[in-house]
Amino acid sequence: MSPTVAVFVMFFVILGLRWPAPHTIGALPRGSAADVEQRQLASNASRPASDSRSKKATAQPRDKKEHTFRGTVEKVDIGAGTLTVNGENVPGWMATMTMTYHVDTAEIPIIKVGDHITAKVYDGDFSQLYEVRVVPAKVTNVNALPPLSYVCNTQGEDMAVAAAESSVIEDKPGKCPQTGMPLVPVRLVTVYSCLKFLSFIQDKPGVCPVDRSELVPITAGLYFTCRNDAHVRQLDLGTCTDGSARIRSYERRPHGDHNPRHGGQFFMADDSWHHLEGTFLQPNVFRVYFYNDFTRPLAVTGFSATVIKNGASGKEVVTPIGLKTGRTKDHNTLEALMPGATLPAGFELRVKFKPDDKERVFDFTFAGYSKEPTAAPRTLAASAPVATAATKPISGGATPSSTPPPSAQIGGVVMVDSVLYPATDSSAVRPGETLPTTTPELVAELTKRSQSVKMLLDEGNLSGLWYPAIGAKDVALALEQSHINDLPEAQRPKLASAVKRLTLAAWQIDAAGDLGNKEAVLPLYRDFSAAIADIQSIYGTR
Amino acid sequence: MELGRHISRTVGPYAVIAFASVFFLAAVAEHIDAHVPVTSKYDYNKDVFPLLRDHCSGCHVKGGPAPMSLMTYADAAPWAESIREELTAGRMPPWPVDPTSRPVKGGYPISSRDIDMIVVWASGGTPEGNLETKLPAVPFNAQWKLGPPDLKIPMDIEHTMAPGTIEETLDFSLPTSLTDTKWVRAADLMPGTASIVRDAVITIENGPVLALWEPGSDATAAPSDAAFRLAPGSKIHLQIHYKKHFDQEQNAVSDKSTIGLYFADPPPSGRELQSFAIDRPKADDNPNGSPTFVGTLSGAARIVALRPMLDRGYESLNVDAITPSGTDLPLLRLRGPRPQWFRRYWLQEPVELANGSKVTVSVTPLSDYSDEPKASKRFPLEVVLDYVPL
Repeated sequence: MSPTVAVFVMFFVILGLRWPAPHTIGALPRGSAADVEQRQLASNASRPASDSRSKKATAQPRDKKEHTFRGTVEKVDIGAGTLTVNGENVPGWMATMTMTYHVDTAEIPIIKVGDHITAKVYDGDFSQLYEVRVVPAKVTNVNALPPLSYVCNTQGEDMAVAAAESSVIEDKPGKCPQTGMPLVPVRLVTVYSCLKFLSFIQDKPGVCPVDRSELVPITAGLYFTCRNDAHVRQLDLGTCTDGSARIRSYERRPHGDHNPRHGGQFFMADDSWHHLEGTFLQPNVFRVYFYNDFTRPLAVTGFSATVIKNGASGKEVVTPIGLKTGRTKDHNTLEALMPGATLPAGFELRVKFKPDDKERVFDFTFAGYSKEPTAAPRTLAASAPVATAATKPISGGATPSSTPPPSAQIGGVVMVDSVLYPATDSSAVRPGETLPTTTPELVAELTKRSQSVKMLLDEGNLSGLWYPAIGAKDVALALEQSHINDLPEAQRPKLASAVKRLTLAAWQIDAAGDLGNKEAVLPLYRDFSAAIADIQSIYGTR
Repeated sequence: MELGRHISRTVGPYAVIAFASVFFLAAVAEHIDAHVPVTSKYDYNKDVFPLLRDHCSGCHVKGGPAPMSLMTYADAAPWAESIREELTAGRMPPWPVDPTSRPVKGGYPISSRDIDMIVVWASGGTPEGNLETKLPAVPFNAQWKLGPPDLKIPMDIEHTMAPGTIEETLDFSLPTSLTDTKWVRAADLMPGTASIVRDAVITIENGPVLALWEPGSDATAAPSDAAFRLAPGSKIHLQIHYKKHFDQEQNAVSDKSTIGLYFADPPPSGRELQSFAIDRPKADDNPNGSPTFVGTLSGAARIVALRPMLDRGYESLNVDAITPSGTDLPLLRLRGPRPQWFRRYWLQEPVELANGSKVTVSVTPLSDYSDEPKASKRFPLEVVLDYVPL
C-alpha cells in the first residue's frame, strides 16, 4: 500500500488548561468492560424518559466518506459539549494529534478522561465525532512499548514539501509520498509539557516546575538514551556502554502540541505548516500569533491580513481592517484595533503568508477577552484563564464567502497604526537603532525612551513596553561602556549600580509585559524609573 | 544573636540552589527546530561561552555542585530560558554586593554588559556560532583554594543520603586533637561528593563561626592582625546541608567531607576575633516592612567582616556605622541578597569605630517573593559584625 498523506485542515481549541478530575462511577477498574457498562447504565438511568438519544443526535453527513476514529479522551467539557481527544492516525482524514471535537451531548455523561473511544468521522468534517463508543480497556502489560509508527523526517529548503510530509503517519514501513525517502519509525506517546518551557516533558500530568502552570498534553516521540551518552537514540529498551539501562526520553513532533500559548484559539492552515492563535485583548485589540508546525514562533515577514467583525446575526458589512505587525519580541504577531467590538465578538480573518499566496480564512469567536495562562497559585486569585471555542471550522482550501473579493477589500483597508500606537510611539526609538555618541545626547535619549515606557504603561499597552524599555537599557549600557570616564571617579560606582538595576528591570519588564501582567510590571517599572532617575542625577540633568 | 546557638539537627526540605529548584526533575530531550527566529547578535562559541566560563564554572561544570553544566553549547542551550530568568531576577550569579558598596574581598561580580550579552543570546534564539570552533574543556577542579591546610579534619563517618531523601541538614562534632592553642586565619571545606554538599557552617564548638562555606566560593583569610583562637582540646562543629541533584534523588549518595584549617601567628594584640550581632527586634518582624534596626558597640572595634543572615530575599540590605560624632560610614550595600546564599563579607580595608558607635541595618523586602526559590527559614534576620577589640 502506498503511503497515505493525511491532509488536515482543522480548527480546534483546547478549552482551558486545567486538567479535570475524572468523574467515576462505582469502584470498578477504570476502562474495564464492567465499568463501561455500569457508566452507560448510569447515564441511561439519569436521562429523562422523554429524552431520546435520537432527538438529540447530531445528523450525520450524507454523501461523505466515513472513517473510523480511535483515540484517548484527555478532557471532557460537558457545558461546551466537547471532548478533547488524542486521536490515532486516520488515513485520509487526520494524522495523530490532540484536538477538541463536538459530540452529541447525550453521549457525554458516559465518557470520562482516560477512556479509549471509537467514533465515526466524515470527510470534510473535522469538528464532530459521531456515534462515540467507549472501548473496554484490554489488560495490557504496563511495560509494553507503544507501537511503532512510520513518519517522514523530511528536511530541506522546500518548506511546502517538508510541511506536507510532516503529516504522514503510517503503521508500516514505506516511502514518503513526495520525496520518496524511506519512512522512519517512531513511537508516539502522549506526554505532558510546560506550556512555555518546552524542554520540560514528563510522562504524566502535573505542574510545571519552572512557572507552576498546569502541564499540557502533547504528542511526542519516545526513545531511549543513555545518561553517559546523549547521542544514543534507540526505540527499544537496552543497556548502555557503562552497563546502565537506557532511560526514556522524548522529542517533540510536528503537530504534537496545539495548545494555545496566549489563552486564544488555535488554528492550523491547510499547508500544514502555518499555525495561528487568535486572541482578543482589552481594549478591543485583535491579535494573531503565528507559529510553525512545532508551535514555535514564526516571524510574520511577508504576511498580510485583514479582519472583519461578525455580528450575532452573521457578517456585518463593514470595511475590512488591515492588521499591522505587532510588537512581540518574536516578531510573530499581526494585530488591529477593533473599534466598537463587543462581547461576544466574532471575527473573520483573511491571511496571506506571502504576497502571491492564496488567501486563507479563519473564523474566531470570543465569549470573553483572552487571558494569558498564569501560574497555578495566581490562577486561584484571578479568574481562570478563558478560552472559548471557535464556532466554525475551516474546510480544505480557501473557503468562498460572501465578503467582497480581496481586491475590493484592499482599497478599503483601514490602517489603525495611529490608534494602536498613538503619539507615544513616535518617540520610541527601536532597540538596535544607531545611538547618539555624546553624553548629553545619550542622556536625552535615555529620558525620551523612559518617557515612552511611562506613556505606554499609562495606556495599558503592556506588550509594547519592551521596545522602549530595552531601548533605554541599551542607551544606559552605552553610557557605562563608553562614557563612564566622563564622570568623577567617585560617581562611577553609582553609575554602574544604576545601569545594572536598569538592565535587570528592563529585561524583566520585557518578560512581564509579554504576559500582560500589570501587577508584575508595576514594581519593575518602579525599579526601572528609579534607576533612570539615578542616572539622570549622576549626569546632573535632574 | 550568635549563629552557634541556632545549630540543631534538622532534616527537611530546604531549597537552596536556585537552579536546582527551578529545574528540578527536568529529564528531557527536545527537538531542536531550525526555524526558531534568531535575533541575537551574540553566539555561544564566540561571546557567551567565555562569560559562562568566567562567571559560572565554579559550579556549573560536569561533576560540579550545580545540577547542570553550562560549559558546552549542548549543555547550556536547553537551559536558555532559565538562564535568562535567573540572571534578570538577580539570583545568578549569587553575588549581591552592589558596586556602590565598600569594597569586599573575593566574590564573583558580573557586569551589566555581560548580563546583557547572555540574556540577549538566551532570549534571541541561542545561536551556537561557528561550528568549527573547538571550545576548551572546563573540568571541575576540587582543590583547597588557599593551598594545603595546616590541619585537615575529616568527618568521622561517611554520611549516606538514602534513596528518596532529597535534602537534609546534619550536624557533626569533630575533635581537633590539638594540645596547644592555635590561631585560625581561615577555614575551608573539601566536599567528598560535590554534587550534594550545598552549604556548610564551620564553628568552634561553643565559639565563633570560622567559616560560612558555599560551593564555588573562594576561601578568604582574615587580615594579618586578626584570627580566631582555637584552644587545646577544642571541637569543631560542622553543620552541613545536603541536597541531591534531580537525577540522584532515587539513589543512595554518600559524602565524607573534610574541614581544612589554616593557622596564623598570634596577633600582636593578643586579641581574638569577636562577633557582634544586630538582631531585628521581634516587633519589626513584618516580612513586608522596611525595617531599620540598630546596635551599639560597647567598645572601640576594628570591623573586619560582616555576616548578614537572612530570613527571606531582600531587594536591598544596607549596613551603616554612625560614629558618636555623627559621621555616617557605609559598611555594606547588598542588592537582591537571598537567604540561601549566606556568606561572610571580608572588608578589603577594616573600619575602626569608636566606643558608642551605632550600627544600623536597613532592609527592603523583595516586592514579589512568590516566584523565589523557597529557602528554609534557617535564620532570623540579623547582621553579625566580626571585629577585633581595640
